[in-house]
Amino acid sequence: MSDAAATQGHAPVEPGSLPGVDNRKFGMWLFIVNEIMFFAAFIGLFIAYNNTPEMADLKEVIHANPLTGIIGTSVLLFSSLMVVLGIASIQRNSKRGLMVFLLFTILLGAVFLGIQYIEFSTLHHEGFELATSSATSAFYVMTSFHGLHVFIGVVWALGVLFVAWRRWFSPQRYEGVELFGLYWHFVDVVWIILFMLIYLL
Amino acid sequence: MTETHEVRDLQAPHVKWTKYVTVAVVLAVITAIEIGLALLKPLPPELTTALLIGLTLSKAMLVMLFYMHLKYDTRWYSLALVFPLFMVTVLFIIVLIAAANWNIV
Repeated sequence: MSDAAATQGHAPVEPGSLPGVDNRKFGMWLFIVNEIMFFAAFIGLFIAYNNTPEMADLKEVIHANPLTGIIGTSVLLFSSLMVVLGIASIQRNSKRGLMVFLLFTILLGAVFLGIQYIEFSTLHHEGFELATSSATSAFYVMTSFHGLHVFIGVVWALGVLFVAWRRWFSPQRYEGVELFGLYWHFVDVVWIILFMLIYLL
Repeated sequence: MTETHEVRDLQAPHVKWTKYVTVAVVLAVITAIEIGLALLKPLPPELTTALLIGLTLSKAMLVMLFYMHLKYDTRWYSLALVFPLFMVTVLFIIVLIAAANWNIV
């Protein structure tokens, strides 16, 4: 890579790359493709049990307090906005802006996990356990794996925040933020679908 | 590395922050409509379900196009999604047909 190219935020095409494709970003997309298939299996299972009496009992309890799902969805949607505003900040060389938006993202991710904990506690109190029925299993496995992804995202965001704090990102070099953003938005997209299946239908 | 390699931009596309905020407002409005449809139930159940699915897919598309930058990036990234989304659609159709005909307990 020439110095001139590096300072302008450009890099030579790596041998074997597709035109205009960043291999790291493409790799992230392929990982997301893998995750789509992963979540499709859980969502398919949930849909299969959606019209069973066991699922109706479970949803009756969940729908009794729709605020949990509404707040959780709002929190995740807002966190996605924080991530893209963080990217916009570092593009304008505002490292402080990037750090502030990453902090908000971490905070909102933690709030979402807290809401999920409250939801699980409520269901546990009402007698809906993982092994209560196939329907509850489908629900808990699907939502828990999504929660695990949010947790991984929060840990990843902490890592990105550390890198930002050490001032290793610049307007020419911030792929780490963008790759994290792709992951976080994907987790958001999954929740958009889960929100409809669990709270709206 | 040879000199014949062309240069390209590895960074995210530069999108104005106002566009990100506009997308967020649209997402919030769609979510509010979804919640209204689900809680108030002003329409027949079949129509409500169809609308909710449509609105949800619209939200997912908005996030992928504007926040994940598929609208601005090279189409190779979008092409990577075509086959898995086709497979997922087939899977869901099979599951829906099965769930409608079998008494799964």
